[in-house]
Amino acid sequence: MGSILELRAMRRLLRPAILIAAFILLAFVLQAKEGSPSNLAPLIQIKSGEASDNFLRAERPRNLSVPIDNGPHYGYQTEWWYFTGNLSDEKGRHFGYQLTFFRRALSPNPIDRDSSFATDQIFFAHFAITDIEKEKHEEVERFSRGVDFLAGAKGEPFQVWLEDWTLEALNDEGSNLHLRAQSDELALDLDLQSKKSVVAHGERGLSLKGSEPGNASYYLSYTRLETRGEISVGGKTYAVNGESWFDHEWSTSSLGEFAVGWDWFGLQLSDGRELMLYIIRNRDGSIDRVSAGTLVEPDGNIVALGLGDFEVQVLEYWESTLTGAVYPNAWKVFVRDYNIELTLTPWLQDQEMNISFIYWEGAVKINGQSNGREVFGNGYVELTGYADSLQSGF
Amino acid sequence: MRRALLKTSYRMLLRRPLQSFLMLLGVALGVAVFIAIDVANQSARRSFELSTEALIGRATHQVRGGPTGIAEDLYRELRVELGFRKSAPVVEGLAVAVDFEDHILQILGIDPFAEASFRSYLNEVPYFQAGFEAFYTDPSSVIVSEAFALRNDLKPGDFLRLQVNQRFETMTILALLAPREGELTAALDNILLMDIAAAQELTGSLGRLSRIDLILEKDEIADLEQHLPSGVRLQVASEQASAAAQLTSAFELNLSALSLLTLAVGMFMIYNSMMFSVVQRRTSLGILRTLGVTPNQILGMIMFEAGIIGAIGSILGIILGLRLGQGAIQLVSQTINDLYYVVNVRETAITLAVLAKAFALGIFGSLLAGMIPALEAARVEPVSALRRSDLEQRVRVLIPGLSRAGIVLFVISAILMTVFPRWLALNFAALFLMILGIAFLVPRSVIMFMRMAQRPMSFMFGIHGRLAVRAVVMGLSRTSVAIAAFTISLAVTIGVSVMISSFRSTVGNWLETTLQADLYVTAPLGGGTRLIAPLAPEIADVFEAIEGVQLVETFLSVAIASPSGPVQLSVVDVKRTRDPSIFRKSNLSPERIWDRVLEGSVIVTEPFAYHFEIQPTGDQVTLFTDRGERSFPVVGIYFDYSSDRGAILMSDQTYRQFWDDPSISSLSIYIGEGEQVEVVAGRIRASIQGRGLLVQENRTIREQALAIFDRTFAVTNALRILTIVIAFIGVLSSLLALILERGRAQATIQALGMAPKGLIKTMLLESGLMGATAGILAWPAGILMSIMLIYVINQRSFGWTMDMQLGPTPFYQALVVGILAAMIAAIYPIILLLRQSVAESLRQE
Repeated sequence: MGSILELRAMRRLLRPAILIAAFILLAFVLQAKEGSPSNLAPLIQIKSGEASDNFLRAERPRNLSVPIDNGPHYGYQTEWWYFTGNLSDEKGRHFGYQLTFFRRALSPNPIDRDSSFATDQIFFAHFAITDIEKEKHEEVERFSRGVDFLAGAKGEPFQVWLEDWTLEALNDEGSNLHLRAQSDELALDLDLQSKKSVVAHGERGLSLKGSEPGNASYYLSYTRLETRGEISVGGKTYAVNGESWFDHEWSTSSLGEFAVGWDWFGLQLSDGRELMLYIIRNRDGSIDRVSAGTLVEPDGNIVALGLGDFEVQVLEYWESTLTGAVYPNAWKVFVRDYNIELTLTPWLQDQEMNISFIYWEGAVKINGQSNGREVFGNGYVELTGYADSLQSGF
Repeated sequence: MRRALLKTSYRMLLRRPLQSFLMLLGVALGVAVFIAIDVANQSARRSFELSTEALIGRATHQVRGGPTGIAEDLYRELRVELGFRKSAPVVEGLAVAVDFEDHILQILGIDPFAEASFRSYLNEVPYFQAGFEAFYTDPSSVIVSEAFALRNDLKPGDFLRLQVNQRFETMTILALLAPREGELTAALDNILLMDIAAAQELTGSLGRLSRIDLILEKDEIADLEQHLPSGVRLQVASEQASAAAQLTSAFELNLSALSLLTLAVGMFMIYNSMMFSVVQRRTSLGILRTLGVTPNQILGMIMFEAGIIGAIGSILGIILGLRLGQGAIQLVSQTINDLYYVVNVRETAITLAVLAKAFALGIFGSLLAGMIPALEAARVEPVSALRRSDLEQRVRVLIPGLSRAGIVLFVISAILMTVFPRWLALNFAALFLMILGIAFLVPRSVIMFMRMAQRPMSFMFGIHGRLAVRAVVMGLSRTSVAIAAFTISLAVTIGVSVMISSFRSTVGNWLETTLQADLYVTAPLGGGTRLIAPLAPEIADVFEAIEGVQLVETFLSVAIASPSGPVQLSVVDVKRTRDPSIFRKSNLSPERIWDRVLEGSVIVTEPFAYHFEIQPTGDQVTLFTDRGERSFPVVGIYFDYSSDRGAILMSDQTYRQFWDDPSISSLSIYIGEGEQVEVVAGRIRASIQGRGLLVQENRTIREQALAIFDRTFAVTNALRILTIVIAFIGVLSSLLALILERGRAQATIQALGMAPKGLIKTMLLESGLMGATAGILAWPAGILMSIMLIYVINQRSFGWTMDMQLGPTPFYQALVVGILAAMIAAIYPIILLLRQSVAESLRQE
């Protein structure tokens, strides 16, 4: 059962909105890659679309409960299940991984159809492994229509699948999960066991995104999952163990007018604390006031953080040779009220997701202090809006 | 020196502009017809290949099943369980755009998420953009080509009414597809692009896929094949297109051969004109020889002239041919649509190869035709230029040799036909040799004919008649060539007419014996080569219950894969015995045949038996059934003229046993004794209102079939007429030559007191006599040609037997056309002659 977050930093949580908008473009851009040049739109005349405003909206806090709320929430337009983690083999060789399943509804009013190919849902997934020793980051993505025999999600038993990439619960509570994915270059087969109960961010999981009711998302996390299994990269398979982070969000919302992107941090410290922060960057270079975070104490207690409660300083930048995008590449993070002062360094500079939507999602190494003690740890950082502009699509 | 000679040639050609023009026209028309047909053939084929390739995309293989396609679950198995991720499901079908002249659209249902690797042009559709959700969520969303939309004034947001199978549906145009690559525009012209789910729903193929496209590495093939259930096959994608294109090869060859024939007639003309110019220049050639010009140089000079004529004529012919090509494309693609496959020719395939081929043919033909005149010119002795009568004398001497050569050509032709019965091109070569043989026999025949004509002509027209006969004989070297060319074109006309009318009456009889039912019910798509829209089988029961209906038989026509490519299968639920005369060959009695068919044997059509060399004695046909590969014994061969691909007929029972396909494509309804067809048809129509089914009377179907037949031969007819036009020009040019040459003689006769009237009369008579000779010589030649066409060419191209029907019409037509055309051709030369004053002509002496 999820714990409840105090209303303390009730800021708007924009991350879902931007992600949605960003990934809208993704398949679109993919087509550009596969096809030929990238300017596709002028070639086709489209009948003007109608706005679909009839999805459910995240309007008030709900009593979210797992495992049922691990599953899909079809009334909302967008949803994702986001896994990141830092793993190492017995020789200490370090790996990072990301496996994310996205769901996007095409219509709020599904109609009964006869064809089993008929759908009003689209699923897509991103899969990446960072091999630190080889200094390699490989990524791959997939799309599918949401029809049971290809892709879908279920609450009981909890499972999400996109063809043979799968996420499934191994126990009734949904705290023990199994992840599987493989492509030509990459593979992963992992068992995840949560060490803490689920975290509901914002107010009982409702993360507001604006003053208007309904401009919000529901956001749950398992912030520390003990992970073991196998990964394959560079033609070799490694037995690994380590820790993962699982975010689950669903919403029906649109991107803030002035936002260009966000920086998200999911940090696991050696003293048993976890810290989630996100920063919404506006077009004018300012940080949006909705930026917020959550601190999870070793005992599972959680603290909501507002923009005033934390500070993130960028120490270094890195320019992608492939895309020319310039990303922050080292940070100092302060949560002064809770005696946290951390330095984040990427395990590998180039962890750019060069797929239909370009962003940076990478494993980071943590050093610093927490509650006056030396801590270390690992985490994941997501940086969007540095390469691709955010544009509206699905 | 050489340059001087070439200058002489130029001047020669320029000094006789009319002659040169007619020669050019001969080459040009021949080349034009050839190129028009070639362009039409190539365009149709190219369009078909392009659209097939476009639909195949980058797929290396396709998984296909029986007539109902494959279960969609196989797609999941291949993609998800076996990991063949470069795979894309496709649902195809046909739809009729009812508001646009029943234009047929090809439904292409795809899953955009699986498409990326396959059809790049489809990726130009912004499947993932906002506003495009309806592509997936609204089953009425379709994408049509920009070209189709422009033609019909449609735009995104407009409705498009379709008939699919028996249903009418209103679709919404979501977007227009405008392929970036130009050549795809034509290929995608008729595409109705839809989401795969919507396509399944629209075509009623729930749970089924038309095919799965795959991009496979070599080492994956065996692995995949291992997992395919029985009745499902893995095909190399490109084979699909080539198999279909082969269907039309015999048809194309026939057209090409006919177009070559026009060029051949044109060659006669060149020969004639060149010969004339050589004879005319005898004196100057003699002088050239005294000046030290060698015979070889003279030969080269004349060949050069022929080459010039050939080159300019070819260029003119190409220009003209490309124009004619537009019309030919219409005719050819109509026939291909009627008989073979749906093709939509929007672009003319003009390749350098086509142009080069036509140009080379034109030049080669001209050189060939100019060779004998050139050799003749090279024989001219210095100073003592031979007189014309010497030439005529020599021709006279040559005649027995020519006739013997003609016979030899006949023999070679016969040998070719006998020894290579299956080598179609050689059979055409044999036909050409035979035509040449006929031409060689013409001089001899002309002499005989004139001998016979002397008395009657003299009797009827007096002195003028006698003069006319003598003129023909005296100018034999010239007249015989003109008559030969004319004879051949008239013979072609007779041959083709006899063949077509024999064919038509055979088909008519066949329709009579085959179409025994009173009424036929089909979906409107079910004509010609189009995929026949399946009907629900229950509909038979509905009809049986209608008052006045005595018996309902079901019929299904379906394409089935076999080890030797797709074959057409006719599935019949035989309840009434058929006319035994439909059987062409069998060891069994007709009743026994039907018994055996009911027991699981099959009978095949004549073309099928011909193409696959099947005998109804122990041979089998192998088909890919839903239960895997199965062989069926063939117990008979039956007459069928509906398709030159041929078909296999099996009983309904056998079909349902081996294929999980309940559908039928048409119903034959027999009405009860004393019932009126119109009344029962009315009741049936009332019972199926709104289903978009056609209820047609026996008679209507027969008329439609014959209409298609006539359309098929439209090209042939057009070519036949062109051949006559060329022959007409040939006669005109030889008369012109004769008259100009005879100017002095005529002047003398005139000076001796013959009135111009008499001159005109003689000339007209001479010309008419030539026409009549050609017309009558064309009779035996025409019969010979029709025999060749019916029993050799058609039989060996398509495998059809037909009963030869010899009516009088083509024969007297040939005679009338011959005489009239020849007399009309004489008009201009006569005018020319009359303009020359007697004194002037004589002064030159």
